[in-house]
Amino acid sequence: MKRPPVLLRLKIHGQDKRRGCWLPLFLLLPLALALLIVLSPVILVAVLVLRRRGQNNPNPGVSRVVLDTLCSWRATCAFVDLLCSTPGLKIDAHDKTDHVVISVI
Amino acid sequence: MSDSEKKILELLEDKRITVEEAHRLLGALRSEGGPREGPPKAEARARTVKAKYLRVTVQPDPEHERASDVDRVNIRVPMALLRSGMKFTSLLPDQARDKVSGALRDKGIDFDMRNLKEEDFDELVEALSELEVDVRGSDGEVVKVFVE
Repeated sequence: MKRPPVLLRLKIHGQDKRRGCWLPLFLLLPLALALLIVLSPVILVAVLVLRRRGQNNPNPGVSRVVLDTLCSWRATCAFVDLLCSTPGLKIDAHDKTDHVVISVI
Repeated sequence: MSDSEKKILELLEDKRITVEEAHRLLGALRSEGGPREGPPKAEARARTVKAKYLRVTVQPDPEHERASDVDRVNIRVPMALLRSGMKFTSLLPDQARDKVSGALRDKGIDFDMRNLKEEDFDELVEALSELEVDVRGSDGEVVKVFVE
């Protein structure tokens, strides 16, 4: 059973800087969803305008192709699937001076 | 022991089926599954099932004189993420897909992205389970790509 990521851990340690944070994705994701719902009328209008403009164009512009792809149901499902597959991802890199850790939990 | 075999034995334990029925069911199950797998194949299969992460590591070779200069990298990518990422190829617009296929053909790879199906992704990820790359560089780094 896939679940959305809960926390994102960022750690950047350098010679003179030492930063680290835990991003509570479980709080940010509902906010992003709310923002998407608020913006959905704008997105819908943009899609309709671009679709109408490119209706008779045999070679539609990149923006229309990209928008069409991004606004499809399949794309939404693929994004959700991708997001829910990120828990467990960990990137840990360090050289002599710097150390970076990105971890999704 | 497979889940089905366990279930049959549980039914027998609960006395919901007789010994003869359990024997007959187990026999049918084994004949349906084909010949029993040998230990190496079974082991490989188990590894495939358990594979959860693709790991990429860069570590210093302890025997190398410049080992202390080597950067260390440790990346762990969930196999589910690979599978989801591969699904994104189906979202590529036709124009882009044609371009990718054309570029691959120019490089001598006859591969049409339109023929990729979801079953193929699973097969690809399963095939990755047996991947093991171990490279020792001249600068004292050991690069390993493996699945765990």
